[in-house]
Amino acid sequence: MKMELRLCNIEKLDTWLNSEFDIISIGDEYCPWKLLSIENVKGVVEKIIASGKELIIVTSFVASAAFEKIINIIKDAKAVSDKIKYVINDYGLLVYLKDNKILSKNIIVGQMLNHSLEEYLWSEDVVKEETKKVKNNWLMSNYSSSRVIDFFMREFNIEGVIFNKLPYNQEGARIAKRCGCSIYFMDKYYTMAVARKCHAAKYNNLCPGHGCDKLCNKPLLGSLEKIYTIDNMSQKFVIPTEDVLEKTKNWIIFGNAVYKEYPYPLILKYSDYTDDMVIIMSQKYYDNDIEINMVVSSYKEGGIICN
Amino acid sequence: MQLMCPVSSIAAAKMFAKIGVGEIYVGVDCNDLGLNNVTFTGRTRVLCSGESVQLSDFSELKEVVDICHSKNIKVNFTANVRNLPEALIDEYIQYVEKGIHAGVDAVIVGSIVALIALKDRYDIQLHSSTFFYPFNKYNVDFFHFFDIKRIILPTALSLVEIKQIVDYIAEKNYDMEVEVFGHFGCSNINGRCNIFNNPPSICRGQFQVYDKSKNNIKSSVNIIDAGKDCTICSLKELNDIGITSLKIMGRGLSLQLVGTLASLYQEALYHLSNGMETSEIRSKLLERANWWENSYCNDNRCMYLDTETSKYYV
Repeated sequence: MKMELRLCNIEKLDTWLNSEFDIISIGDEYCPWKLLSIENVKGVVEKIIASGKELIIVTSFVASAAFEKIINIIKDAKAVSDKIKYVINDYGLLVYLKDNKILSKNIIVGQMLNHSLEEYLWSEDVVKEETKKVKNNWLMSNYSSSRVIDFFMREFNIEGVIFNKLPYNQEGARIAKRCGCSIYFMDKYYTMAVARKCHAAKYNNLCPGHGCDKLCNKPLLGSLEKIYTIDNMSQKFVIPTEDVLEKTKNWIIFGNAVYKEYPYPLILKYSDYTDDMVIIMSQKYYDNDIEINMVVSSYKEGGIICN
Repeated sequence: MQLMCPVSSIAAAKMFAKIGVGEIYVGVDCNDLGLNNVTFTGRTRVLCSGESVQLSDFSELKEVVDICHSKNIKVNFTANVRNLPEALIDEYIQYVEKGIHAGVDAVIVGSIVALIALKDRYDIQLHSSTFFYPFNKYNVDFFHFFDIKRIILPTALSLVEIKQIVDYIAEKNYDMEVEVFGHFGCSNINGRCNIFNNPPSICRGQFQVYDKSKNNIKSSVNIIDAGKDCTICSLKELNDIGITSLKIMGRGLSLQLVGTLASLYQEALYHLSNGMETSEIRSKLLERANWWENSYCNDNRCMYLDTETSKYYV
């Protein structure tokens, strides 16, 4: 097992290069500006590689304004080392990298592409009246399939897939592992929803890409008060049912995505996977460095992982 | 550019045929394939409201196809479940085959598993659902590999970005149409949203927002809201760009609402085809629907135009 620290803040890079983490990653799965806002990315890449740590560059879905800049970062990084890995979250980017012979290996499929209905707020209700066969499969993620993994390994030479730690995702990871894929698990939070609009930027009245890089290092929390309805032609806000209020408490908002904490202690049995399984800890999910160090130590020491 | 409307009953098909829309999209309940509340249609059988959002069986689909084809209306079959489990591929294939047998003109696909399973399998048009969220033009190359004949774009794009995609298809000489949402758009990216309840509900709701220490509490903040609904003022540009189909979203909405929307958009498209300017099209619509301005214009719910919301697009 390896531990990956996904940095939201490279000011403390030197500290983390001397930490227990095996892998340092930079960027974000849902916002390109997290990577693009790093000054002198090439210098950062060189520094991480020189430290002996493994490096993963994380890309998001990419609209046209950021596309060329992301391509240039990948090209620059590849020139530094061919051992760097890349998280891809956009089929357009994936096919572009292949067709233009920019990247033909070291590709990890991210959570924008690998998602499931297990994260859906009413997932248990949706499947409660289904047969055992449907219940056991409906909430699996879309890369929990040998057909899909084989296709992307053959056509795009992917080598890994990121899953969350929810139970059906773990089942899916086993399938991907059996197909020869490396498995990455995201710690602490799973993604509920992703938008193109950056919620944090709007809340703070800053445009994405213009000094917004510090905004999503700390979360905003949100609890639903009223839902919006359309009653015939008129719109109004009403207080939702208790069930809805309960499910919409304490949502965690970073940038353009909404997250939830895993609902209960989730156990990963190391024996189910192999030594190259990676646990991703996102720096911004934790209150401080002490908490990060405690969690990484417990992962390194333990055989069972809680949240 | 043709209007495409949601059908979940024979009555809806008859209504849209009367209005004269160009296309409909429709799915069928999957009870006979061993599914109960879940379906392959991209929606559950009933929404949280209890509203049914698809036809009850394939004989109804055949009837809908006959109604539509008698008026030259194209029928798009929703097989766009966004996460198709590998273990249910056989049932999914049966669902698609029954749709083809009923005479549908195209199949909408929403899952990567389904895309791989259906590649080169049938002689029918495949459309890639917005659940694949193609935000840049190079996605087109990905879907061309699967012989997709129509790509459905996400709502959170600008007219410039839409044009880039359409132009790229032409540049590559691909046989591929482009469909966009015409009315109603979600706040989150379709296919990557797990808070969907009754549309549009939660994402446009008002939240109490605070930091981790529960300080700086603000109430009644629509923090997640990014919904953009209306394309009336963009119809000319979308038509000029070369969009094939303009979709009214609303399989879970009342027949009265989607019927009214379809009628208003159909009239707007008629005026557009007769060379009417956008400002005049809008004025005529507001004369017929005085609630429109309050519901959409005053809230800046303009789908592909620069608004307060699009300022914050990543």
